[in-house]
Amino acid sequence: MSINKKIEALNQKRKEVMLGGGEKAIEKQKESGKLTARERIELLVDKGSFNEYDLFVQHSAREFGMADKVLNGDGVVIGTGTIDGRPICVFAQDFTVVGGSLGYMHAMKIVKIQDLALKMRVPCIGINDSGGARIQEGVDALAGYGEIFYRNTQSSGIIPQLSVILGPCAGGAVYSPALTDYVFVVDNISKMFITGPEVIKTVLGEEITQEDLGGARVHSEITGNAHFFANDEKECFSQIRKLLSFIPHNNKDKNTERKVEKPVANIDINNVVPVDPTKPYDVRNVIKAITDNSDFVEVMEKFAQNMVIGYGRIGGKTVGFVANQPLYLAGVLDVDSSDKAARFIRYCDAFDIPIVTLVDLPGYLPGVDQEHAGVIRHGAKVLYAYSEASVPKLTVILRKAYGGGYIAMSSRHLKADFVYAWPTAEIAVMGPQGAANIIFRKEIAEAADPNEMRKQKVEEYKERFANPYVAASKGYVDEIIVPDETREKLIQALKLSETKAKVKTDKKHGVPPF
Amino acid sequence: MNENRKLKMIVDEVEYETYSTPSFDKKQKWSQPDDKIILSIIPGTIVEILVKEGDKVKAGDAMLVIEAMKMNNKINFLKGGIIDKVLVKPGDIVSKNQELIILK
Repeated sequence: MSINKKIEALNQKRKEVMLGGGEKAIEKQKESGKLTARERIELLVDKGSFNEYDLFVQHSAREFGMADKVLNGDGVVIGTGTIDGRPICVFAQDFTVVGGSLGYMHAMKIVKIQDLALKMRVPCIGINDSGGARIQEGVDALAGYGEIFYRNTQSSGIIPQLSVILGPCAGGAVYSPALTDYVFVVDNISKMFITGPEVIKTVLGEEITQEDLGGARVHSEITGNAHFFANDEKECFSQIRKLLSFIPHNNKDKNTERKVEKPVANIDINNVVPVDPTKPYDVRNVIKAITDNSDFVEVMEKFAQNMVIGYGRIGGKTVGFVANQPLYLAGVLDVDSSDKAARFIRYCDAFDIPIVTLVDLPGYLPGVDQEHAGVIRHGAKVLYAYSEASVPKLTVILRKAYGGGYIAMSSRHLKADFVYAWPTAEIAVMGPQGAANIIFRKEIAEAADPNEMRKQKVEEYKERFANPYVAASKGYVDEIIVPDETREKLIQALKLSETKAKVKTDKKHGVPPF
Repeated sequence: MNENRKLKMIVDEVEYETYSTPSFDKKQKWSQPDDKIILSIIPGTIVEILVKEGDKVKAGDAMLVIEAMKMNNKINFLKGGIIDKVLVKPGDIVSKNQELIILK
């Protein structure tokens, strides 16, 4: 055979395999509002940068008449490409090939790209669209999942792992995304659950739709399993590209610094925070007033909204923000917000991203439901994560910082490197009303007019303690600054922190209150 | 901001003006459990009821059998008493914390 014939044969073979489950199945995929695996990768990576591996891999099932079946690519596309010129590894399950079901060779393709990503220290992005385990392959399918989970865990803290849920992701399959760092979901397309509506109906008699059980909104707002919500697939892929433009591509990557840009949002930072500590405001306006280009990539925007986390740049350098959000639930710490913040802090620490903490909280959320849901152990995660983190920790106390909440939010005592306070800061053991009622209980009870006496004592307490000066007098706050000085102070502190000493210990690892 | 989602939150006797979240909306008020009302500890299907109204039972006596995840689970009384009402029958699908039996 001539070389031209051989080339022609190769191209023909490629064409056939790339058709996945065939034109009919592709049509069906489109009807359900979804793109195909290869179209998705094209949207994700730089134009023309994709190299597909293992195109000709075949499944290894022999039972149940599977031996003679041809499954193109075994239902998954793997390869490498670039995003803004930087290499990444990617796999995308192909729902058009037997519902993207996971058999052993399918899993081995995913494992190959996971291994490559870890070896080359580049991000690994998984696009999930699969009906689950390929039942005909029995325990081999389970082995496949296990191998994937193992690599997710081994890669954790070394390379960013992103999961994109673009179809069903049910049963054991949900645990790979759950082990990765960022889960992206798309409205009406993503469905994640351990047991689906059919099983729930049979066992419990409860009827629920897939969407209400484990749709994109549920995981973004209620469960906290998803980190980014998009209205369509296109928006989802641009979110991924944007996130990867902020975060390091491995735990040693220093290539995150960009040209310094001034904040552009029209925000008067001196007047964002109301002086009255009981009034709400949006803490994201403080973030936008200090970040380059006022750009902020918010992570888990709709989950535990009383805590805001995400990435921005200050003076060209990427930082992770952890901020109490007085707009929701007065910015309290609770089970969900503690969990959200703690994992983010650990992520920043693993990838050497300095943490900027903006503090304004009345304490922990009171209530039976919180106590019974374990706010003690969940709240402890925040203390643990901050105490353990060795990256530069910069804290700005915007307004109230009361009680246990003050300690937890990257206080000097958990070894924040720099602690700033605004003139509106109130650093105290608790809110003035509560404190005055305890300290002056006797005087209030014995007064001719207890209400008048209480008011007077609350005012007295406010005057003396609801300010940053008491904490500053003890060195717990380094500097009391005007809000509009914040950005410049942080830029200088970040510069100074670049050479922060790394303390080595001989402990294997701690035991955080997971 | 949606004014319908406005919320007054009290922490340490201070009332804060703020807004609610979807999880906070779902929260249920806690109430003291009534030990005369026996709730299902698991979801499943009632297979057999081993007592009837008027029976005198003591702690440890078998109450009923619930099938859940293909297992028949025999449920016993934690506390004795006289049975006032049996609220379920074989074949019923019950959810967790559904009322099963009421003691006098």
